Amino acid sequence: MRVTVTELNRNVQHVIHERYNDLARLQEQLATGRRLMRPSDAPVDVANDLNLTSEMKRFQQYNKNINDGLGFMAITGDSMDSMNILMQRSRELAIQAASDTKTATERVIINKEIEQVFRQLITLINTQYKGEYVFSGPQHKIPPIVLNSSPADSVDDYNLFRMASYDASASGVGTPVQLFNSFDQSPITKLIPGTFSLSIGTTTYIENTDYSVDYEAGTITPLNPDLAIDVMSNYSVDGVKMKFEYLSKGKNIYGETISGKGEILREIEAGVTMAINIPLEEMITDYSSGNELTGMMIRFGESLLKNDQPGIERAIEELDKVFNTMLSAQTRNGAKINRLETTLYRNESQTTGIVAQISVLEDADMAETVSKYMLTENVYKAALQTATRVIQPSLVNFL
Amino acid sequence: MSLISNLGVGMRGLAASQLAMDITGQNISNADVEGYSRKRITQAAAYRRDPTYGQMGMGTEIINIERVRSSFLDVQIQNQNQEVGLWKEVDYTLESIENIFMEPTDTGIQTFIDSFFDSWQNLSNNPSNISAREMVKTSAEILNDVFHNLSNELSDLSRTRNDEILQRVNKVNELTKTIYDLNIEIGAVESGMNNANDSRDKRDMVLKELASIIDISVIENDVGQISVSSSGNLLVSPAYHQKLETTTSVFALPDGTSVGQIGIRVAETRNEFKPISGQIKGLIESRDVIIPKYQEKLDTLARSLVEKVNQLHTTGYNLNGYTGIEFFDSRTTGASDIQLSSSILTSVHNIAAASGGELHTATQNVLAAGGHNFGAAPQQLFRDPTWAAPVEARNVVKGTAIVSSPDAVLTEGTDYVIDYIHGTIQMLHAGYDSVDLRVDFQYRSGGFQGPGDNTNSVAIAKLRSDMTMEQDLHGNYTSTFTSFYSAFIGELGLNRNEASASLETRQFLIEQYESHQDAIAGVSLDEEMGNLIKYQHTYQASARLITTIDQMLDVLLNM
Repeated sequence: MRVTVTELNRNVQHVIHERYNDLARLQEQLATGRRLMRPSDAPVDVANDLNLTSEMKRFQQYNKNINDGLGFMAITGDSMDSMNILMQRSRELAIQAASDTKTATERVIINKEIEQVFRQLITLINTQYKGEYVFSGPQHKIPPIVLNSSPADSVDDYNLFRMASYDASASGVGTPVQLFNSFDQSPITKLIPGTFSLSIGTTTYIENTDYSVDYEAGTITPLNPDLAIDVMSNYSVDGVKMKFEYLSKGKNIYGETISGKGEILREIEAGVTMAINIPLEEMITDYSSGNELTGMMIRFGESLLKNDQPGIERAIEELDKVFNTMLSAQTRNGAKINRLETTLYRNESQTTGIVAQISVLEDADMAETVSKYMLTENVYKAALQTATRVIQPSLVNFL
Repeated sequence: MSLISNLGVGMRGLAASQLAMDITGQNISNADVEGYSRKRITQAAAYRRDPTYGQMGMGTEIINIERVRSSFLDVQIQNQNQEVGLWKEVDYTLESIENIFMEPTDTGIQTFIDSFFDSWQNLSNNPSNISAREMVKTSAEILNDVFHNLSNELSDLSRTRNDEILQRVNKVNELTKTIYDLNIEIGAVESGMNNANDSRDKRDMVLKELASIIDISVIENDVGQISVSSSGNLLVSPAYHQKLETTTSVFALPDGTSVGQIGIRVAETRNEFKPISGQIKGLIESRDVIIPKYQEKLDTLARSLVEKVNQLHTTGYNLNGYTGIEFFDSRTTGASDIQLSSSILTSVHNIAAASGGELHTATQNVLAAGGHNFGAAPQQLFRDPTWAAPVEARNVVKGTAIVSSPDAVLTEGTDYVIDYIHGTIQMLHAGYDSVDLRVDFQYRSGGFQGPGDNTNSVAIAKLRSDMTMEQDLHGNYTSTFTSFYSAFIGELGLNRNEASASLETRQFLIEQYESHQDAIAGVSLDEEMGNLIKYQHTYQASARLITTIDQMLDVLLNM
């Protein structure tokens, strides 16, 4: 076969060009540390890589969701632990108070402590996480239970009808009448025992002598004819002054009371969502008897105030039932935390696995690439050297 | 046989050697000229009839100068060059598309789809948080920008490829004109029984270049002139050459702009010119098949995203308890015009993270004559106006409202408009002022759990792992956004690989053929140097012959 200058030239150029391309590709891999630069490098690997990367990001987001959920539930759990301690204290006090030897005065003193315990329980029910009430369910901007006071101190309170009121002008002495809010006529219930006082002008009337109060139902029974009046039509700055504190449920922007029901969901795994909140009702209401924490505490306090021993004993019974409900809610919260922690652990090991897979697909094996690079570089140099030797000489050089 | 005729033999030898050395010199000096074929002289012994010896030598004679070249290999190279031209353009287009999509990197669209859904997850964790809502809006806007950008880049690529067709057509016309001119030259030379070697070399080069642009077939006549036709159209014949010309038809691009799409026809016959191979075919294929395919995939992705997110979003409730709000603008037709709905752009409060809503049918809504006059304030619709305290019917379901007068059903948009969110109706002209209007519709209520409800945002975030795309025969979805996209990037990679492999195979074949052609037609300097010495010696010998005869004549004349 004839070998000609052009042919030799073409071959030399071709070989040098090819080796140079190899060098450029390897250099790109070394400089970036990545094996996959564009889809055509390895189409199937790139498709897998995209899927895996997306999956990794999803897992990272689940991780955030779980951690956020854990924070929420830890706060819920802390609040429940404290409530548990307070419930135990209440029970101790109830058993003390139930004893036959306790006098009426001692029971009133015990009520002072129960009142504080009760206030503390309400504060715990209104626990917040990141500015949101944990027991309000989806309505988390609104406190589940509000402690209100009936103000009757300033001129404004009278002028703006902000004080509480009742109308006993028609029913007279001995008949219970409902307390209501003079602003919107809504009935007032769930008064805190021991906070009630009533005066007209400079005369302070005495509970259970001049009037009696049903704290839970929010009714007042005038016993003194002076009190059988319509507060609204007799009001004045120096007139009837009723002061007490009472509970109500939180209200939304439409003025509707919120239920605290409804779930707050977190997606913790692909397609798996979990409610991270414990609805208030499930924590404080004993469904078998219908008793719930606030009513029970009010009845307990009322029994103490009224020196009603059978009432105190009933309260112990009710307290136990509510306590059980609370314990089961606490256990459920604990179990959910466990479940989340297990999921978190699995999530983390899965993420590690995916990251490893992505690394196998994406990352250049440095040792391999470097040695390939060295090899290709040698071949390239050899190609250049042979080119200089083979192109120059021809017969011309030897004539 | 005389001494004088012997002198003639010497002379012919000198002339032949000189000519041969000319040719050798030509070969040596053109050794590295592309397309040059080495020339060879055909030399034969000259003779005459002789009564005594039959034939008597009269020295040497140059019969012709011919080029050494395999025309079969030239045809092979032309054929492969057409394919190289085609695949080169296709490969370039696919490479550009790869660069546009920038996968697998952190700047590809996949990253932004992921952050979009991450932001929904984040919103689920903080449903009433305004900054979490802003994040959803911002990540959606970034995603939209990326969609727009990709779509524009694909349109630009399509436009550039289109423009290149014009340049290639001009090149074809230039080349066919050159072939026609060379035909005339070759015809003039070869009809005189000579070889137009250098013109043929030039013509072969031009044919090779032409073959990379369009498919060609070549027929040669008996005086060496060729006819070139492409896809059934005769472009060059010995008698004439025919130009191609371009036509422009306006073609709308998805991004709203339009481009003059270039078509090609044969100037005189007005036949549409459709090459089956070569660069022009590659450009047309890129513009009409490859780029639209990826554009369509991108559009499908954008449309599905809009459809699926809106489907859930319209059933959800915003921070203030309203429903029926779109997240993306439902008029989106593809990647180029995907955008957020005006409600979301106005306020992030309108992002519907909360869920719920049961469907109810409203009854007894009758607007008494006079109340709903044209120009009056919008009339409130009620759940049931007969209730003691009627409740406003908010969140009216789009498409369920029927407004009728005793005689006719009114047309929405012409006769009246409804504010679906607030549940009010307003007349657009005074035509129905004096009649009672009955309004039937459905509304949603009761589902709104409060601003802390994240059920709907969880549902939207879950779309990421849901089957949302590519329906099978039974109408079930078979892939997620991610798997659809990664499959389409995988396909892009495979297509590019196929194009690159085809290109490389063809280029390798051409290398082989050209190597063969070089072996035949290339100049070997060693060989030429050998020839040079050979001809030098024959020249010297011929000169010596003449000197010898001269001396003999000298002897004879001085006798």
